[in-house]
Amino acid sequence: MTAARRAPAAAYTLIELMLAISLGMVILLTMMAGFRVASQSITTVNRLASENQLMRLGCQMAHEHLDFWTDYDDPDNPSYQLLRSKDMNGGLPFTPMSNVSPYNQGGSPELSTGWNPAELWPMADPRVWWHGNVAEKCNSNVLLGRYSIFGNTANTVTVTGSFGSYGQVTVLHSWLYNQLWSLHNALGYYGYFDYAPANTLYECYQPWSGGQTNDDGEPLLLDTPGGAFASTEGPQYYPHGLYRLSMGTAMGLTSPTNSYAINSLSQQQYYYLDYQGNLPTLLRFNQDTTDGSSLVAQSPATWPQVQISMQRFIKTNRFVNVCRVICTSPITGQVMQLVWDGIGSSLRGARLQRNQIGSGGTTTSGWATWDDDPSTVASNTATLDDP
Amino acid sequence: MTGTLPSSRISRCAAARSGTVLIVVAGLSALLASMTIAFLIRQRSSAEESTQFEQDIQARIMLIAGCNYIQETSRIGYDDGVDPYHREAFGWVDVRQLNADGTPMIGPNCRGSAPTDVVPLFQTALSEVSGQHGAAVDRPSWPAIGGVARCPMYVMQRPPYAVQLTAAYNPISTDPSSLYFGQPLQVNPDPQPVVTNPTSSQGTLTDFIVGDPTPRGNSTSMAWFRAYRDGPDTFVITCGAGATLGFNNWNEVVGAGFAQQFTSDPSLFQSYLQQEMRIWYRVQWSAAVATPDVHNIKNAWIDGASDDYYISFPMDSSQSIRSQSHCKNMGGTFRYIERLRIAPTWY
Repeated sequence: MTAARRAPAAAYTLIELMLAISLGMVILLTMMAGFRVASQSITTVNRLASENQLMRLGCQMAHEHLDFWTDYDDPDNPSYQLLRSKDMNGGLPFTPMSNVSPYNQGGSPELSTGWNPAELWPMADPRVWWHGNVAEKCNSNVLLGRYSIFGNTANTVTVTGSFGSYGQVTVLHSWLYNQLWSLHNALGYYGYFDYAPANTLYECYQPWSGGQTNDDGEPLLLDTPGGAFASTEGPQYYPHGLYRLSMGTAMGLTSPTNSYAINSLSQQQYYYLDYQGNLPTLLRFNQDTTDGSSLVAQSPATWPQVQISMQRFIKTNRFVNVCRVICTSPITGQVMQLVWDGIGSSLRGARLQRNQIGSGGTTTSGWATWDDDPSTVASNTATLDDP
Repeated sequence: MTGTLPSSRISRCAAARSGTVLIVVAGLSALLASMTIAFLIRQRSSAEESTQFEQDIQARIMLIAGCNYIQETSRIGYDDGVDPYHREAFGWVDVRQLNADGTPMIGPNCRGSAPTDVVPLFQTALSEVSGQHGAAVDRPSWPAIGGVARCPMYVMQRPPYAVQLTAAYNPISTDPSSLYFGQPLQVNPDPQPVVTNPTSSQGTLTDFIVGDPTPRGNSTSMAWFRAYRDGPDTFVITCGAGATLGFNNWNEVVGAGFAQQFTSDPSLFQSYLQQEMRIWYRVQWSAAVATPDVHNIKNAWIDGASDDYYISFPMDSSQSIRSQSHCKNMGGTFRYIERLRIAPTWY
């Protein structure tokens, strides 16, 4: 048998095959590993990019809330206008002024009552002056004079007190005290401070009423330390300005995400957050005043969960809007939180954005329209501020 | 004799294997390349979103700047071109006097030579081009009602009255051999100006006062605001982030003499306008600042007693934490700030 008669080899030898398979596997494994690393890197980067994207969106949404207050009242959603009603104790932050402080034009400017947005409260106007005793205490013996005869919510007063009667007098100034008294429970305390000018002394004079006013007619509610309006910080027994009212306390807007927000008394409270640590009050303050919503209501389980929250309150004379964007990773559980104090529309500004039902025959709320073109200004719709 | 293949057969098999590897490698490379491209596209998209996000924040910062501008110009006053000093103003609505019809007097005004003199600090004559009526002069200059203050923001090379950032000019000596070891002595002025020895000559003192207002190159064309006074005390503040310098349209650019800033090219301005973020707010200024109640110390001491006292810390007390001195404000406040949902016709 000769070599030439042998059939030529038609396949690899075993050694060739083993080597080829081994080398092929090494190449494939290397490539797979490389591909896997690249894929994982891109997945990680994509996940981080998604987190960043969602957090950016969260920040922009928080800015939208700052400007349009839709987390408190949504003009496009009638079922989310919870803060527009009123009860026997007063109104809520988005209650139309016509419902809580209706404007009535009196026979003279001093006798007008209720909210008129056109009033500029100029200091040159004696109606705006506070004609009271700035040192008069809630339990004053009135030895320094009876100031309720200079200004009073009633334009004629039968002067009397716990000690006897004096007679009837005509009062020159009624406008300011009527404003201060009608606003005190119209929109809650936050709304009270938002609407009243920064130099407001939150006290007025009324006809004397046993147990309700001091002997001069000052409502006890407004200056009794530890009462429903003024804290014991100090304590200050006489009329307060915003600084003293908010130095030891915070006045917050109760978020509509709390069911009790629709009770007007929940909007008429302060939180004693003073020098000492007061953890229970602080926790309740945060619970009452912080709202929260998911950026994306329904999303894949692999997406980061992003929560947006807003907290609006007044502390030490400052109007504070705390924005929070909280991002939770579904993979690691890591929580990232961005917190900042933002500036945007004020409460009154937000109310001016909202259409008043009935304005121009409208039957829905929606957004108010406003433009400064003289040819179209007449078609601007009425807002929650208008009579 | 071994079973070796002919050389031609060996080269054919090797070529086939090489081709397979080449295809596998090329395929994987294409896959990686496509993933990289997708990744880069994603990153570019994210970068564009970040730019928009950054513009949103810069525009919002301009709201604060715009409000501060309105507050400060209400009372700090203006150079009237006549006097060598600022004329103090008395608010957008002059709190000192009412008109005959009971409306508040429109400001800003300053005090004249007599206490009863009220001198307007604004001109109502039409002198500027808004662009709303082509190239016609159709609006008064700021701060008259209808006027516009346009304020591009940038960082100056050196602001007026700039002081050094040095934290401690007079560190306490820690050298035990020093005569002044451990002694807090103020041997150097604190703070000190950025320009050296400003009192040595009038020139350097002027440098200190004026600063160097040349914009820093990396801070221009980023953000601006413009304030349009639409009523006695109401304003539309436009907050922008972009390179238009706050101009509203090309006619306004030309009317203000700024065409060269845009190489006299309306299309360039238009492209800036399209890339820009603008948001609008309406605000109402108030002269009110703070209450006159102070820390009435005597009333606080005698808890429960019924006598009224006026023994108080003064307004400027820095000792009493309950004093109003902790909320200084010389510029007034705002009755409201309202974000406008759509751009108004005039701004």
